[in-house]
Amino acid sequence: MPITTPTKPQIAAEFELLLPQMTTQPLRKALENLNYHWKYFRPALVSFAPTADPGLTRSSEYHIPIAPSADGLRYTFESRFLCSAAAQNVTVAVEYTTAYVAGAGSVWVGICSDVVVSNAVAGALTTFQKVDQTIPATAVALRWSLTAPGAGDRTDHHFVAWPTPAAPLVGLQLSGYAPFDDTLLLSADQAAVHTEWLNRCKFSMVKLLRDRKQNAYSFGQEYRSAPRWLKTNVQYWAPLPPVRIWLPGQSGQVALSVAVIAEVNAGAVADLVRFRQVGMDGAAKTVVIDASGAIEAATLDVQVQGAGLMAYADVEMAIKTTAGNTTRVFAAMAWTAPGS
Amino acid sequence: MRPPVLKDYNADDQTEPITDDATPPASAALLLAALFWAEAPNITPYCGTAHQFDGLGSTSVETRYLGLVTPVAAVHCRAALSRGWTPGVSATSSYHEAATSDGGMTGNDVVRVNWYQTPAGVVPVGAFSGLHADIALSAETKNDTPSTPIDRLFEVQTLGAPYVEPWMVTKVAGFSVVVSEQLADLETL
Repeated sequence: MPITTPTKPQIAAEFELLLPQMTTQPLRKALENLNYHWKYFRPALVSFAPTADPGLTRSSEYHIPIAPSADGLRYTFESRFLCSAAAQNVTVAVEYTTAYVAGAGSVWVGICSDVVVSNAVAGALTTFQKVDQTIPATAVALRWSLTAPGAGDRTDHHFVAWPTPAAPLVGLQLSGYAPFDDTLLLSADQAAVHTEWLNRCKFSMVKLLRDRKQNAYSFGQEYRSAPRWLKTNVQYWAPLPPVRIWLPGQSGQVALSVAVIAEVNAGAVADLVRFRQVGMDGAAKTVVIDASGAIEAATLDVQVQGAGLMAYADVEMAIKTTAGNTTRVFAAMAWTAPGS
Repeated sequence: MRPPVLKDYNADDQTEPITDDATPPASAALLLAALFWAEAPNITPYCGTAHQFDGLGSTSVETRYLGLVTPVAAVHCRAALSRGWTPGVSATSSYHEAATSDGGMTGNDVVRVNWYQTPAGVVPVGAFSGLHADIALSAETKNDTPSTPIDRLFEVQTLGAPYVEPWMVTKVAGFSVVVSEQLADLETL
């Protein structure tokens, strides 16, 4: 049976909300919104601005922990970088791994690789989009890599991965979402109310809200190549400036899923990366994470400040070292889902 | 007219069904509950990602370009700019610059947010892991046709589907964006 997917949210008109008669509308609009939500609910899985030296004449790779959809969705990638010389070839590749290993032992599987010709104007931004690439549900990290241009240098600016699924398929999906098949309400007016349809309006929406996690925090440096930010022999917490995570439509306590790739050059690895909420009254929530070189995960519960569209939480990342040793962070990511 | 009503997702038990009655009545209350659950997640703005990066280490890294996923029914945004600094007088300009492609990235269209100044009026040097840090919020002033670069709301496209809006920002150690104004009447979406 065909599934109708609208191209924008179906908003019931004001008159349809006044003593609705339970005819085809507005229930059909509500149910079609489930199909719209499947295709157009597109919070960024990754929105990543690297901390790297400007003017690179080497290739770079960034390892980014991810929390992809259980439905094995298509994602669209946009890479932004700048070459000092005009029309240079830069190979931009995105790969994934299902088992991230500390050190260089991860097995990377290619998603896409393209030779991108940089902007015809020297020093102008290059934006490269690669649409509809599948990230399997089992992926735990992406590797975003860019090669050196033939002439001049390259500065890396931003990478975003956001879901761009096709229209919904029939049946229950792995995330728990079920679409609406529109033929069911083509019967006469005043058809019977279906418990299933009413509840599906909530449950399918909730399933996608929980499945398509929203990138709340991102930080990353080139993997292994001279990270700009590291600490050596600093045995107290050395923080970066705090940043604000916007949490519209959330209140009270919200759980942030944190994932970090950090390592040391020698010595113990325990409890060398810290995340905490700042700028609030009362005791701040804190998590400390190991710098093991693997993906280390934690949950940071934050207390939402502000309200409505402007609800937020300010967080701060800090690192420290053991005596005489160095700690460096290659990636730190966090995600949220409304109502979590 | 249907103004946007922001749902509080933490105030609702997401595991409870709208009805557990096998033969529920055809009541307006049930229908409205289903309707709002089907509408709200589609118009609730996404989480504003806090991007942490070094835009302060030297003049050559001060400008950063990003592409941010912009949700449905967005009209204007505000930005949170994180900065750090160390003692010393800044040799560069005493303001951040930020812009969207939709609002314009040149001339008077660029938004200027004041850099930190000490009480004595000294403009300190920016530093990614400096001794001091704070977060500045861009203004809620609405002016889509400024005659000079000012601190104001950022313009984005108001669409029925999410899209990626190009952004630019200077001299920050962190940057995040929030949809501060949505379409007033969703029936016009």
